[in-house]
Amino acid sequence: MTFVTVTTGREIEGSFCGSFFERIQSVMKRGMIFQHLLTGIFTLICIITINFLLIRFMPGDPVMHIIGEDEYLRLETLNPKVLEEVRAEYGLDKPILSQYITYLKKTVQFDFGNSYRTKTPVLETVLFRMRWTLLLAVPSILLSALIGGSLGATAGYYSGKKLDTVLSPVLMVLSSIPTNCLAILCLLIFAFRLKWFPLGGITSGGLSGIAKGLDIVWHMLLPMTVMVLFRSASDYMLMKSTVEGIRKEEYITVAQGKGISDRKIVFHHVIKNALCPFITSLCMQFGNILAGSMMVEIVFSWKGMGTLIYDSVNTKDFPMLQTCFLFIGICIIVFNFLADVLNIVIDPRLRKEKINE
Amino acid sequence: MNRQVKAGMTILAVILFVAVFAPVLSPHDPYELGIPYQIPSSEHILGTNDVGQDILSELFYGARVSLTIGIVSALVVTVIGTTLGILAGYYGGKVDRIISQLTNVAMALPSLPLTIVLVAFMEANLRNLIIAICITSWTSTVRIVRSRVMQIRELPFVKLETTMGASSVYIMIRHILPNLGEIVFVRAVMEVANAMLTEASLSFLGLGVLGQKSWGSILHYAFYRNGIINGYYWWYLPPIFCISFSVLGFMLLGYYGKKDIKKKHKKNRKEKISYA
Amino acid sequence: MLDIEDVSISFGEEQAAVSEVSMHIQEKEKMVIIGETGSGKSVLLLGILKLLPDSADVKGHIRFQGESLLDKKKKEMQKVRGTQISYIPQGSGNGLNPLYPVGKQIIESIRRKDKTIGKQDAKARMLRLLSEFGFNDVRKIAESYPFMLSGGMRQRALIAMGIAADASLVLADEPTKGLDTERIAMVIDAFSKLQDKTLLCVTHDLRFAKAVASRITVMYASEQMESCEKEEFFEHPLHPYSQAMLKALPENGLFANMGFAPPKSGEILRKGCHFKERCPYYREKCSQEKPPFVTMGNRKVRCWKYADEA
Repeated sequence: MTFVTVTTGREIEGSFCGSFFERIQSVMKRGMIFQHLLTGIFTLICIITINFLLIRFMPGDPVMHIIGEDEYLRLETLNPKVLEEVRAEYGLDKPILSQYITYLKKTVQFDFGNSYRTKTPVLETVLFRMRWTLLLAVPSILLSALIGGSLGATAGYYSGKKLDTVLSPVLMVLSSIPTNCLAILCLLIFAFRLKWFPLGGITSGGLSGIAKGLDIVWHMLLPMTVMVLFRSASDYMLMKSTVEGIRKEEYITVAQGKGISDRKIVFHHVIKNALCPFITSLCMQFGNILAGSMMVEIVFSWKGMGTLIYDSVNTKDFPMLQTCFLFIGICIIVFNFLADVLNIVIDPRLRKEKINE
Repeated sequence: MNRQVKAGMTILAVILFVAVFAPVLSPHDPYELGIPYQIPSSEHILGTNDVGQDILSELFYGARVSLTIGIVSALVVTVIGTTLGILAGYYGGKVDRIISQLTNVAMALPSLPLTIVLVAFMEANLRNLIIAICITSWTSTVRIVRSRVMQIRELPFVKLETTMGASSVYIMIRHILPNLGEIVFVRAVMEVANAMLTEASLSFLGLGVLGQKSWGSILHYAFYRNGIINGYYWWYLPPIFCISFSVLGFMLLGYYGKKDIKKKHKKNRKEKISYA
Repeated sequence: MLDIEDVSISFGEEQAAVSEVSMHIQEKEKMVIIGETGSGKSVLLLGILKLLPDSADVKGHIRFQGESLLDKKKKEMQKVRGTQISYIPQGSGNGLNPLYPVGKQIIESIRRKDKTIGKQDAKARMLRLLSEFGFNDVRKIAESYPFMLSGGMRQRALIAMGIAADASLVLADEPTKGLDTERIAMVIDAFSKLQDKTLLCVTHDLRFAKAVASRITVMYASEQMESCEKEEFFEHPLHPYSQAMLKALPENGLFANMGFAPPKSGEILRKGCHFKERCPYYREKCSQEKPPFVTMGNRKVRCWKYADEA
């Protein structure tokens, strides 16, 4: 324990945290993001492959799944030649590998074929329907993150106090009601009994301009309320338990020991630490956005992606389903990637992990 | 045991009792046809549906399907998820990368739509329904178990065992698995709730087990045969209540059971210290 | 400056974590509480700051510069914390928020003292503080995150943070826990810079206590066993427990046949002296009656061996 050893110790510390460290850190940050990007791309390829295999391994002639049962039976009796042409177009007479390559090519070119029912390009329909789903889901996710997140943070910080004891059981019960049941109950009370809102659909029709916009808002209020109720309940639960955990951490006691006000502690110390799990959950909600409102859409006959998938299942419209799945998959992958990147940006410890390896 | 856990246990006990003794408890054969749309009376306590079947008996029998699917799927999912999670977390490296990538891919599949497609194109029986539910729902268990195992792997006693030459399988079964008890239990309970919800959604869409009563299918007929527009509250309210009630039971058990287990652990530890 | 009288702290129905502790700390005095893990030392520190969870029941009197702290309201207490009484947690825990650079957290404390201070001034003061506590490349330290620092560095950063708002009374919780001798030397060095502060420090490290303390209090299983000047404690310890602890030091022959940590609950603590089952001078009386905290000249001790003499 001589003076000399103490100084060398300090010197080692100095170089450890020197500019070298920082440089590695920034390089690694980029490296890690790149790695997450690779994972995302690989996942995308897997999704496309699964989509490809889904049709090939469904019972029956693949051509039937591509052009539809009715068309298939019609062509089979009237014009088998056309059937063979279709088979050749999709390369179904070739070995599975070249079929796969053809499929990949078509996917890259955004050529997803035509719908069985409407005979129009699938892509058009999916993009059109997607708009309505986004219109409904984006505001509801953001709104419930705001409501559920802030209430949950307050209840978690003041755990065991009034807000917590009143709100937690209510929201627990609320989150245990399935969305379709909640939707039915709301439909029943507010649309059917009280007649405040329409029974379903997107617009009454025959309107234009501002009147049409207001009409759409009027139609979407009830389904949105259902989604906000359900989502904010689960956001609340997540935020509350996260904040409760952080509340017990030593740095919160230290911050209190510094004499910082509760409000500042919540905003500076608690929220930032609670952000990682919350952002991950939010990104998962956004990733699932295209299919996440399915049950609500079906109950309120909102013509979005959810009803599109359901109708396509009922009519065995395979090209449509494939395209829906692809878009949903892309959405999930993109938001997963985003969650990873945001977590790395927020939490310096995640950046270090790589340095050690 | 705290109040919430007790409440959850009570709910589950009631449902289990009803499911097991459905044939004894049911006042009527749920498949027997009668006079449709009867309001609740002493003969039919919860009235009848569009073909005159007794709704109370339907509910009793429905508990069987919902609970079976919920519990069996949760078991399958938990076993698969825990095994993969332990393997990924313990071995790390290549094994971890493969399993993690598999999980990533499975997570990018839209769970409910995919389940719907699978059910729609397979024969709708109990087994296929369970398979369809399991295919998309094992991922979160893997993720949670994996990260927990990575922590446990670094604990001194595991490292000690490794240096003493214990085999990996021995360490995984004897030391890691018992330490996962709490989170695996919580996941399993939540998984039951999830599976029951999925089943309810599927049969609400008319994709449930063919010819079997379930809560979701009662709701399906109530919704699609205008029970709601005509105000037949006795038809659609009971299944909604049953589904929500049982999901609540599992959620209470999962959410507060976790805290309960933690407390017990702490107590045990304290006692050990005081007698050391 | 700080008067603690008959303070007992308990959580629910469990055995009290602190029972009837009294001490009077003069201005600029360095009081060190010595005790094994689980003897209730840390709880006492948090009790003074009123930072214990709601389930804690604090009895007795705590007066800081003549004012009762226990009677203070939440808002008033918040004003005292940081600027008049500061708290330094152990560096081996996570007393620093993992998501903020160290410098930023020290500036947060500086702003408590001087709310109007400019950004540049606050930063300059923070860097000066860090260099005072033995950091060389202060800018790098200020920008690094807590996980990047070693335990010793974290501890010194925490000390810097603790005194950043210029509090006159400093409470420190096990500053040397989990550190090797070299780092302990650095921490001792850092504490020697607090000459003009009053210090109440909790530790189980006797050598750290020897270097830092002016007065010493020994706690065992929630009770105060001995209280005296530092020199007296190291030269003539009175209580059997103090004697045992000193004998266990390497320079005194590593003599340790006393068993393990103090009991936390159970029959032992219900009646008589808490130390009875480990005591070499045990007699019948010890398990029947609790010994009083008797005064012996200018020191105090809780043991029947001396209580009977006095």
